[in-house]
Amino acid sequence: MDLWESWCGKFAKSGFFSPGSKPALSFTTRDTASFIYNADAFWCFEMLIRRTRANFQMEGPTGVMDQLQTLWHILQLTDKEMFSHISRIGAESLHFAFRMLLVLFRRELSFDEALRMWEMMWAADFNASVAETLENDCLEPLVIQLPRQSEAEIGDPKIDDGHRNSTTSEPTSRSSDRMSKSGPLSKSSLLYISSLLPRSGPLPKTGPMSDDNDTEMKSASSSYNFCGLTRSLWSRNERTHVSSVVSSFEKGDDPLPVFCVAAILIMNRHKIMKEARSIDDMIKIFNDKLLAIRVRRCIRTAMKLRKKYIYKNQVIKIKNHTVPDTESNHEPDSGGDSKS
Amino acid sequence: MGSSSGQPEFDYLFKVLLIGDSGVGKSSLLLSFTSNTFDDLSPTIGVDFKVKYLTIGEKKLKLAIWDTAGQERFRTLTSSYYRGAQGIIMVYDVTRRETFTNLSDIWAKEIDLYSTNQDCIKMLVGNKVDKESERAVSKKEGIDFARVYGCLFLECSAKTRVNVEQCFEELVLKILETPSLTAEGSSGGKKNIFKQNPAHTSNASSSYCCSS
Repeated sequence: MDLWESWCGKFAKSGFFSPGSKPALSFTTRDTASFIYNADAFWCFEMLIRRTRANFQMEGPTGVMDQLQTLWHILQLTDKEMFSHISRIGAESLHFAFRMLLVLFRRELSFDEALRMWEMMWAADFNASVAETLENDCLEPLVIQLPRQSEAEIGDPKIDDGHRNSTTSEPTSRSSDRMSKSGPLSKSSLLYISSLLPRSGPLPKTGPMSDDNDTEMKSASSSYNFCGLTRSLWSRNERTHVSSVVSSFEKGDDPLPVFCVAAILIMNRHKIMKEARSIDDMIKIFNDKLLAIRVRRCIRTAMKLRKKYIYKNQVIKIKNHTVPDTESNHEPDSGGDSKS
Repeated sequence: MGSSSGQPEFDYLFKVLLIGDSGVGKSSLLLSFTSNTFDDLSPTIGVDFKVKYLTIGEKKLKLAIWDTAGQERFRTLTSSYYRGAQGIIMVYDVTRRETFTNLSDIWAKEIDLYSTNQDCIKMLVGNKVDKESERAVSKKEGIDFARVYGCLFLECSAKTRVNVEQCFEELVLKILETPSLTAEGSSGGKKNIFKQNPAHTSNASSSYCCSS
């Protein structure tokens, strides 16, 4: 019943998480769980956390703090007016944006809007290698080897069609295959997943929601690849060539959410300039949801901002170090997985 | 919200901070105080902020109440909000013993570490007295704690609103009695306590240089 407790039971031993992750979880328990299997909610949540793990790290500077620093730099380079206003009112800590970044706008947006936001953000930054990293990025108890072979993990297009495959061969992790990376939380894809779920498939049966724990989980997991949630979508996308947007992300630049925050600031420029006179006001404006956040516009603006930011950054680098060694040289260390 | 500038519409501005373990009811207490409502709230992320105007005697007061997240992960962030607080309310849940013991083990130390105000008034508040049958911390223990740490003490319920207003009023009265604190909070001139940027100061090894 309680997704959060089940999840903790499995993974929290790593010391990564504390109940702080619960806000992020609320979406799955309260909203999604009503129309999907608990097991699906569980894996959706797990994949979400893999993406945002750095935010919930207990030690060292958390991912969000790093992102706030990036946000500061973004504003400095792309919007002088906003930058100086925030400096002037003493809101340089940018703590008002903390919540947005931690739970990816879930508190600021309605459930449907938040899903849209996530889906758009992740789709915009879809990257095969990142997807693969996430897929393999299991916490301890999750590292499970497929008995057959790890080719599957590379996402061979042949096994893309998980469900067709599954009916003929022995039951594999087909239900989880359908959990897409770029939009594991979209309503439509979730419905899709649940409607296709085999009634006695591996997930519902052995899923972490079942009362009996570890033993059953382990025995089942030895034969099913639970990490393969993304395989099918991932390989599908590989075939259809990932858009060029990805390239900026690949180079290690900052992911979209932080640019979305910058976009929200800029889109609400008038209100912020007029009403925010201290960090108190900023926190109030953000926490009390007084801002207009239009998802599509926000994403569009964020992507433009990122382009601008990358460009300005390069200009600065060129200025500072007369000959910068071109950032974007690709290290062909493991040729296997890089897209041709 | 942005008040009309010029003449401040209050005599004193006091900064009050709410701290304590996750789930003890800090946000509920604040909501109960500022808007007379009680709701099932999601856990606070980072910090939240509410304003309440009070008139005590002849004095018009503006209370800026900072509600902090109780979870440990937010400690580094919330610690910067102790600065300049004239009042700190330590909240525990009378039905959960560990929230009480953590006050001495953790929260009192946090105050020593981060509070910049020597004379800052501290107050101990035991919340959720509406769940009398589940009580795990007696009133006497609360009183003893308060005596040891030299703070005010009250038990309240954000749900039934018992003693909620008294919590804040007692604290404010005590602040008003302390000359060094009223001197700071007077005239409504907001002092900027967030001048430096924690995100920057905490990370000196940043590859960026943000001086402009």
